Amino acid sequence: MILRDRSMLAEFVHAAEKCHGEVYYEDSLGDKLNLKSALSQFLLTIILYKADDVEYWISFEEEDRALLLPYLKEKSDP
Amino acid sequence: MELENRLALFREMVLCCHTLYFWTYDLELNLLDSNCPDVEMVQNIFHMGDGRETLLAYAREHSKPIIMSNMFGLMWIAIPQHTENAWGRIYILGPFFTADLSEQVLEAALARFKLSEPLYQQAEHFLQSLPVLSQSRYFEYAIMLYYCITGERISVSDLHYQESEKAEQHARPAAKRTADIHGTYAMEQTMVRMVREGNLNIQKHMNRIAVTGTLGKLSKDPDRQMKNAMLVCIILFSRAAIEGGLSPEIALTLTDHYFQGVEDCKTMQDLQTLSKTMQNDFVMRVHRIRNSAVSKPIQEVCDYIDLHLEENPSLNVISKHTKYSESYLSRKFREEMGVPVGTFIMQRRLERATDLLRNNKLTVKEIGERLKFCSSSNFSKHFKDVYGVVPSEWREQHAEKGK
Repeated sequence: MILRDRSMLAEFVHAAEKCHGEVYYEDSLGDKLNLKSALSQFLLTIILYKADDVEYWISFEEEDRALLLPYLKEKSDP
Repeated sequence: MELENRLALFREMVLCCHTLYFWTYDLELNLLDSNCPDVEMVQNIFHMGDGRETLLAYAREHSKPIIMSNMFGLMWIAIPQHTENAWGRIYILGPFFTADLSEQVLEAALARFKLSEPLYQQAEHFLQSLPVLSQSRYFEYAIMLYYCITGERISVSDLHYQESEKAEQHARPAAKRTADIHGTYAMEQTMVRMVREGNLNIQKHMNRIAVTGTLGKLSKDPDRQMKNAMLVCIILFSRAAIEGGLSPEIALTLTDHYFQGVEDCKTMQDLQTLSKTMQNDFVMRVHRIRNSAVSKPIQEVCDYIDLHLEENPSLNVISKHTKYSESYLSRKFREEMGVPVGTFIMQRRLERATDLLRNNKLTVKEIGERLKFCSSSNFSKHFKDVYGVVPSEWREQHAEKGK
């Protein structure tokens, strides 16, 4: 899944901090960031705004789905 | 001038020196205006952590500037403006790094992530685009912006600081603190080496590091923090100067002199000026020693004269102090310096007089007395012999040039 709208990034990050399990950003270049780390959140912001052509996905534990879903969408969704 | 015009001017003036952006919010933190090209991205960074909640809570009760720091050391200056109607504002200047949490430190932290090259370059590029301000510089901006908004003059002690447990935890994680200390230590070592070498480029280096650096929290009071940091700096400079060849006695006398000066400083600007004078003084002395053909005894004499100009030292006193005989000093000094000791002392007193004349706080009479001239007319006569005009005319001429 990917971020629904990057303008909601701060809210998404706050939600990720509340998750029980880890929340990761991963991309096709092999990068993997644990989004509970402040520095990773900062990096994610730069990536989403400055390197927006990179193919990425967000992975998380199933139990945190409800918490994160408002901010995420399937890659195929418009 | 209208508030909007004042702010526009301030914004442009800041941009002359730093790519520091200006943000206008309403009191609910809805963005109204910004000159930042990456508005959404930087807003997202600002809203991460508890910066938003902290600022909203602060703005409800305060109107003085608050210095905000987020989880990774990025900083902002925020000033709430309350008006009688509902159109209050929060003005923000930032983001920037402070010199003790420089972008190099964050870059080092990024390097540990082992990011792919394209992402690393993007992150590095963004970090390098952010300005790095010394503590004194952003204090000044906060004070000036507040004046722009309210017309009221405040001092550093009126500034507030974000006190968030969460931000504190994140802003200074153990690993990062270690990296900061290493970064500051490296900077400090460069500084010490430059003093030891009498390197006249030291100001360029000092401009890159704040007066306070990451010396640690030396006081809860910002004024005292700056003064304590300056005292530490004086000690480092004096010890490095001794290693560079300056006699310990001269170095320690200078240390006492500048310690007193620090305590006498009333404003941040005074402290800045004294800091620069102190740095140049130590470095120039070491430079002279290392690059001069003058022998050590004569160098000691010159240093002694410089330090005791206001006592108008006699050859007899200098001789006792340096433990060389009067006749030896007299002959040796003339050989090496090309002028008798008395003439040299007079030249140096008159040079000091020009320094004091630039400072309008003292009258000509007071300067004459301070430099132990026997009378004002005697001071004026000697001054005119060298500079062609009497001291008051010289001051007027140089005040004109300074305008």
